[in-house]
Amino acid sequence: MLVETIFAGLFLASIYALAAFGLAIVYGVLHVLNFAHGALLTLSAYLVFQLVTSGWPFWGAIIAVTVVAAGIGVLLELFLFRRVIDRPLSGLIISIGLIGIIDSLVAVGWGPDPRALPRMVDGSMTVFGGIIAKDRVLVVVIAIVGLGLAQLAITRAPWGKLLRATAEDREAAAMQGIPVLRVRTAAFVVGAGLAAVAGGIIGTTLPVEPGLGDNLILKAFIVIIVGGVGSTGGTLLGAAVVGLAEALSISYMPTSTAQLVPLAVLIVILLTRPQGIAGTLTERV
Amino acid sequence: MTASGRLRGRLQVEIFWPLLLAVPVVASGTLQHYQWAVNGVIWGLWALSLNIVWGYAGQLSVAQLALGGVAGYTTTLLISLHDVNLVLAVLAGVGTAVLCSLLLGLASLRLHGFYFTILSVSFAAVFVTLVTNSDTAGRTAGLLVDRGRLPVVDIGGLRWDLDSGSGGFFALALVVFMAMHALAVLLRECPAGRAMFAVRDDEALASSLGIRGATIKILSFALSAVVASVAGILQIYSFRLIVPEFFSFHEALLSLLLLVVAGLGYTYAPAIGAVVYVVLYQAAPVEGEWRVGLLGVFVILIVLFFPDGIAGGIRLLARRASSLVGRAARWSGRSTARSDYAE
Amino acid sequence: MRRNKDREVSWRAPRKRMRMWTVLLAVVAVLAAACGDDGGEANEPSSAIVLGATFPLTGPAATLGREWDRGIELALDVVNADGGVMIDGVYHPMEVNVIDDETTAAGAQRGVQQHLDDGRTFYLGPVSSSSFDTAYGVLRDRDDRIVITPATAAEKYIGTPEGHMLFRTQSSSAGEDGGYAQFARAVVAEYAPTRVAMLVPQDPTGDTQVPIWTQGFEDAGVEIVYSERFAPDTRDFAPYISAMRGTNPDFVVGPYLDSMMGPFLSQAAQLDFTEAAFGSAGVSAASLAETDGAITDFTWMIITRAVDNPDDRALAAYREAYFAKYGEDPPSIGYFALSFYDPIIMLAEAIETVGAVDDLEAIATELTRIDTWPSQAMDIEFDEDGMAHYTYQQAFYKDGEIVFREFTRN
Repeated sequence: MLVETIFAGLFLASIYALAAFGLAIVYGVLHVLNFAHGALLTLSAYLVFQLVTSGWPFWGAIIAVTVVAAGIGVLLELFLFRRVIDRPLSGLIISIGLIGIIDSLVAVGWGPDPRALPRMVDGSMTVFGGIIAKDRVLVVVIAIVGLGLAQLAITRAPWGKLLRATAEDREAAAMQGIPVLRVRTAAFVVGAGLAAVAGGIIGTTLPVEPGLGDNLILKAFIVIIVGGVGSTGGTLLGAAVVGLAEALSISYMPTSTAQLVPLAVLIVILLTRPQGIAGTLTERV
Repeated sequence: MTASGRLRGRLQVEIFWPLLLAVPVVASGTLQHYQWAVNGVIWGLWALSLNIVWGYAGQLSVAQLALGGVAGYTTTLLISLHDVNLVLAVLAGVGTAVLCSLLLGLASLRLHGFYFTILSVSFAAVFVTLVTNSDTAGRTAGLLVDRGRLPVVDIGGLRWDLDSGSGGFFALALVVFMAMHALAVLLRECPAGRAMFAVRDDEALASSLGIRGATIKILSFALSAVVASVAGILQIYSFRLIVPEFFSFHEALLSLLLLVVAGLGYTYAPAIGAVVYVVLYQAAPVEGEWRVGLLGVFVILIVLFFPDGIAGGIRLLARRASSLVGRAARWSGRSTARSDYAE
Repeated sequence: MRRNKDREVSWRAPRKRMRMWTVLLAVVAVLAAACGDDGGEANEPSSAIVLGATFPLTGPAATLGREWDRGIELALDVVNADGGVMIDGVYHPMEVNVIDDETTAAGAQRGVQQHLDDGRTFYLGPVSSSSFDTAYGVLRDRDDRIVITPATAAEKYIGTPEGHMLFRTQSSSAGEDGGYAQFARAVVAEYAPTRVAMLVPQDPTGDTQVPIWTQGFEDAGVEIVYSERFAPDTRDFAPYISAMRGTNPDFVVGPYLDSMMGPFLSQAAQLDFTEAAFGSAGVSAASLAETDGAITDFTWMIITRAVDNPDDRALAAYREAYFAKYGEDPPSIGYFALSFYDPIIMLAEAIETVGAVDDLEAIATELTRIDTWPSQAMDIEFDEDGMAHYTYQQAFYKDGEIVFREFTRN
């Protein structure tokens, strides 16, 4: 059972990381906590469902929806968030307002019934005596490989460095000749795109229903804080910590206590090391 | 104008206008409208609680609804389990919430800004989780609240049935709201309130002026907890029910939204927030699914064009109007003031 | 900058005092008006008898809401087939005004208040438990209304002074011989399990079910090897399946809604946890949709009567009408629609028998006496307290075939 529990933790970590990575990038560069990230994830899952039901191949649908989401991201940044660039509070409120709009669209478009996206691969496999679902293994692999590559890109690739420079100090970056506004848009596009990919993939393992993104987004925040705001590598670490803690507590504790564990982790981190596991103390906490 | 004069003027204006809003409600007299108005008052109170701790003192706390929930459950359990007198139970509820707010206050001394907000989110989440898992608190089904316990008040020949859905309960809500509103205005004008604003704007500067940031912050939490308790207790009596759902993160976001849209920091913002809630969330003739979307659109528009919220927009318009009037008066020779900048 | 403060203060003083008095007067006036008599209730003179319905059309319970809606519409079709309710030689069509309560207590309260303002005397719903208490609080102490609802929360008022003219259309589910107890007995009779696992959501219905099922199984000598609750928004059941597997159950009681049971069974199938038989109350065959036949034994308790059973002659007329109106056969979950179907026709009959629409006491009494009505689907009887009595059904799915059985009458 331990094997299965650890794997459950890895799976949770993977979906949290998938959901949180885009959010971390957007927060890092724009300093806007995009509450609408979850709603975007939900919307993407529904759009993928719609395409797949109309006959599209799964990965084709994911690509198409990612492009659409990226487009939405561009529009949101150019017409909404850009105008409140110096007012993070306004940005926050806008993102909350967006949740309402997207939630309404989803409710009107698809109704309250849960939908099911076909699994990427069926069946289960036995690993070290534990029975685990094959499609979840695939999700973990995709998360590790995909996000690992993304993390590498952010730390090594030139445009990744642009992102991080803008995140750290916008004015200094501007003085260095970095096209800050374009980087902002790029960050939003990447964030929205990641939300779409996350939505599509997660939608194959969990039912596609209106609350899909909302539930994940809360955990995503915890993951980002625990890992360290402003550090995407921290987000991955945070996801691992939170995911494993949650899986272990569900398996070995009664539900009432288990529900408190992710919160407890968050509170402990906030009171002892608020900058997170991988965060550096650049902001005054 | 003297300080106390300004205070009195403010109190009059800020109590008079909400009353004016109550007139159409009373005139229509339907149960539906009374309920809308009560719901508006409740949300106005949540916004007021948040305004004190965030608008005045600069601490964004998402735990206000949870504090109200603490008061609500305490009151309900004292009455149902120990048959405590209503007034005492309410006072105990408020007291418990204030105690919990002290915890938050202490945390605010250690963590600032964004991190404190996240901590307040966890505080609220822990509260909801504990209550959801508690048999005494009724788990997700919650507990019933006996509204019949509200007394019938006899003033002279006038009977005031506080339980009545056709006006009595609304009158109670209105009185409560005006009292809390007056409290907020008083706070704004008194030294403690101004100290809160100082701490909000620049804590280092404030402490160099002799303001003890720690005390002020904790005070703001305690006062906001009083308002939150009142809001929570009023809400559960309105619905004759207390469930954890009333105090969830989702609902807290709504109060945040309403306050910012109405105008963070302005004393009359909560009243505006109450009106926005009633108009957009209750009265708007839209299907249930569109309601959040409508609110979202409205919120985004306000935030884009009125960074200081509706209250800020009103002030802007009022300034422009008065400067226009001043200019017109000068041209027509009525005023002897030499410039537009006479205060 | 004002230059002469003293003069300015004395000039303004009388004005200030007047303003204070104006405000005080305004306060008193508004409060006095608010504390006055009941607001007038609109009474539209119309020949139609309008029922005020409040249930979820949006929100998490909207799927069930759609079924209730259809059940009501079909009932009205029956009532209005020959023109409506006959009173004094005149036919009065029966209509319904549905207000969406958005699955929230606030929405239900608003809905009921709107109906009150509109002068309705016959109320359908609210249906969800927490919605019911809040909304019923508005109606409870009045005697100018009849409330008809399947809500579980209504049960506690039945038989008390506060349950006057309140009718619960669902036969008791809690209680010694209630539906849930019957479910446990039926499971024991059919599958003869020795080890039972229970996984139930952390919500009011779950709170009711767990103690009854625990008691029921233990009384039958069955061992409960696993009993856990999960947060209602959980859709990832792998950890629970993991834990459950270790206890080796031969019957698993799962969550009571298709939206939860569906993913649970789907994941169980995927993880090869298919040896046991599964079941719950309130679900339907829809839960098996994503299992690809890997689950061979599944049972569900039907709180009214199965509407997808082609062999049930009592439901034949209903099924035909459903198909004619909606172009499809009633779905497995469609049994929820019967919560209002018969009661509405019964109400119409009662009004007709009494011969007046405003003699509510007589209508309420007649409702407890009535035992046959046109297009009858279920064999319901209301006792003198307003509680419905009829036989529940249980569906047993085995390898693609579904069998329906009756419980004993309760």
